[in-house]
Amino acid sequence: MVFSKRTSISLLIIALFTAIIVAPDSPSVHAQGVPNPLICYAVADNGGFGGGDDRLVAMDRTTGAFIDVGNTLTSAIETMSVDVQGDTVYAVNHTGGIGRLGTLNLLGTPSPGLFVPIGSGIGTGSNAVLGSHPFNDVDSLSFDALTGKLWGITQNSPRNVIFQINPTTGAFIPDAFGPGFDYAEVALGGQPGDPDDVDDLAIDPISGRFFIIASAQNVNDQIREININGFNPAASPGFNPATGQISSTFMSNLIDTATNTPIQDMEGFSTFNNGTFYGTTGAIGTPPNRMWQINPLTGTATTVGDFPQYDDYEAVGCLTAGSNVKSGTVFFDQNSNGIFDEPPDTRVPNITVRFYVDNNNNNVVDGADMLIQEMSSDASGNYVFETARAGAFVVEVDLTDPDFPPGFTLTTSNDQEADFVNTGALFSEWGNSHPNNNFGYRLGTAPPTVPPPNPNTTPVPPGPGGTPGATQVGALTLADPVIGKLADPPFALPGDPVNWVITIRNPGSTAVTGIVVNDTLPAQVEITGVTSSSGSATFTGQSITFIQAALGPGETITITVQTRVRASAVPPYTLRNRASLTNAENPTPRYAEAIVISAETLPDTGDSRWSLWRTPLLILIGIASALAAWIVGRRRVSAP
Amino acid sequence: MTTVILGIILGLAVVAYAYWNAATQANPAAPAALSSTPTIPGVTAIPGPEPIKLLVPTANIDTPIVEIYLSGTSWDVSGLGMNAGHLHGTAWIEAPGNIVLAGHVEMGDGQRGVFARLTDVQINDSVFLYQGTARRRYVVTRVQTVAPEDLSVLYPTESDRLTLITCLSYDFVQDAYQERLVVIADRVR
Repeated sequence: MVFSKRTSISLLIIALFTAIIVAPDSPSVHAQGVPNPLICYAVADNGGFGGGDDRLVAMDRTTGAFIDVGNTLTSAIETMSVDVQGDTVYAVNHTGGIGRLGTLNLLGTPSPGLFVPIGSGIGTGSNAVLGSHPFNDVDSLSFDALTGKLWGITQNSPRNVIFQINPTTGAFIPDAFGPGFDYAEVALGGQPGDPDDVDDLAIDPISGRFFIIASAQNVNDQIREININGFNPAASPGFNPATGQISSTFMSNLIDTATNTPIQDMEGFSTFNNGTFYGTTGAIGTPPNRMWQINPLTGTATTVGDFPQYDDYEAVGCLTAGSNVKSGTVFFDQNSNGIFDEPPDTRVPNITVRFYVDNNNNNVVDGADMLIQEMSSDASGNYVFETARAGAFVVEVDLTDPDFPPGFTLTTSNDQEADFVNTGALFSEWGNSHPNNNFGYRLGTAPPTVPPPNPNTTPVPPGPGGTPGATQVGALTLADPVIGKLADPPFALPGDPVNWVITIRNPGSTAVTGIVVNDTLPAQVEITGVTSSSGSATFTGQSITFIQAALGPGETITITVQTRVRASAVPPYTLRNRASLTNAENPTPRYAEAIVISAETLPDTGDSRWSLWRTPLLILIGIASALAAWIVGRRRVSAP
Repeated sequence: MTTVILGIILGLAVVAYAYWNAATQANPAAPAALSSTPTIPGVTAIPGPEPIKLLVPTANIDTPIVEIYLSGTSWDVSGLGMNAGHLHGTAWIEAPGNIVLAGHVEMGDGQRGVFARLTDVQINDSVFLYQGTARRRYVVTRVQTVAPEDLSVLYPTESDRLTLITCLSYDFVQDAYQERLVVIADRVR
């Protein structure tokens, strides 16, 4: 078999082509579900209402680099916002006389940029003073990074009204400003020269202040602050139930710092998670089609970059860093040890938990802090707060909650703090979770039934399996027997055998009587047998019972429970098991705990710079080999 | 000519392997959620609510500790960044035992990882855990190299121990580290 020159070249081309096509790429715009803190998204109206299709694009906030994402396949998007998670772009489309919330695909199917509506329309709200108002011509849309709420403002048609939207249903949220007030009219001054049109809304992730771009027919652009309380709009300082309006305060006129001239037609307005504001100018802007960084207090704006394609950038969304999550469980601390360990602890629903920005970073809730979210623990006692802001936070339970029983006492701190801060890596202050902020309580003020470990306790010797490490918990005196427990081995996968070794030792100088050990094994293990060095050990189902009449001074009992991890157990799991000990002289249970973890290997803590280069290098080596072979082949063919 | 054919096939095979390898190792771009510093109820030896930090002067390590959790059959370090990660399920400071911390030796962008200089640690060096101004001191008693499958260094202990783990011996062909460097330090009261 001989390869001709043409065949060899073809093979080489195929190899190169395959290398180009198959090699993994690195998209500049992430697929939906992945925050990209470097960019802002923007929508070009691209021909106006009823004109050409609107276009979703992105721009690097730091370099001004432009990224064309795709066609929205609609022509009436005038506002957008990135959600708190930083992974979904919402927009409002105004067609057929209906304002409809939707999402814009980010490299997703069926096509990038595509507007996908949510629900059948935002709807028509009412105001006890001003009457009903359709939320159709929505020019402003913004997620509040602190509260997670989504806000919209209609353009002057006939009023600029602010309202809240449910991003799941796409419908407005009733009574956002209290009973009878689904919306509030944004008062813009009302004097000659004052603006009459709200172009977009941006909510400061740091302070929670609501800033708007307002203008008079796209000129005299200015920044105003709506005097709203984002957590509790009904209690907003600027909301007047007698007029149905909410006031706004003039902050500044928009000024281009490069030319020291006013900027007109700023249509898009948004913030990045760190409180940096951005805006985009529309088709008649001075200059048009540009992304700006804006100081909302002074109105000064500097250029980020010009959009090289498409026209009339009416919307921008920059909340792209992702969120931080703080969560925990409210529980009845049955054993009063301040730790959520079930059983015996039980979960408690319907307890109010509040989430604060710890403004003075002192790890307790005080007058300097800002309440941003509130919820009740769910049926499993769990609560979850999510925010796109970084920094210091505290959660507390409401000690006046009527679902707490009379005479209760917290066994944990009521100030559970978390700091989401930069740890050295770029944007590392976002995308974090802080779980297990648990709140436990007991009844009365009696001392805990299970005191903390006594440091004078004699350590439990290693079990017969040779594995050290019994964990002791319990109140001990010299007269008490000591319980210890270990798992051998402490790491096991489905099908693996595990021995749970319980040791009871009497360190005292007198005998103890009526020794009882109870142990309920996790459902993920199957008990195959139980033995003991003395006394009587039996098991029923998952429960082990051991009884011995007496234990002399210095004596030790070893109970070995042979188990096998059930094949149905699915890694990852942590099998936590606790045995209890009582005796006639001390009926208060003492506990010992052991853990089995579904680990097979040590953590893989080594990324490598070579990971990036090895694929191209291997491709080059392959191509070089093929090329060398082809050259050798050609020489042989052409040789006389 | 057979040599030529084999050479071309070999070259194409290398290219195909590179694609296959890249595809099978493709990771989602999303950074895993980074856990914040664990808050430990009932801590008495190191009082105060401040986050706990790891300090290893001889290895130039001064970093917060975050919790890392099991994913499959090992701990997920994809979101660890420049932190030290406490292996969830190993002991913590509220009770005696073996506290195990892991850290990167090198980051994906070539930056030195937080445990890059763990190789500099020698027996009798001091290692500290700080919570605010309170501290726990440990002294290194063993430095060893183990296979990734050797979990014995994670076993519980009766006494207070601190075990530090990072990767060692990068294999270019397999794109994996073949060993783990383990530093074991026992508490000094």
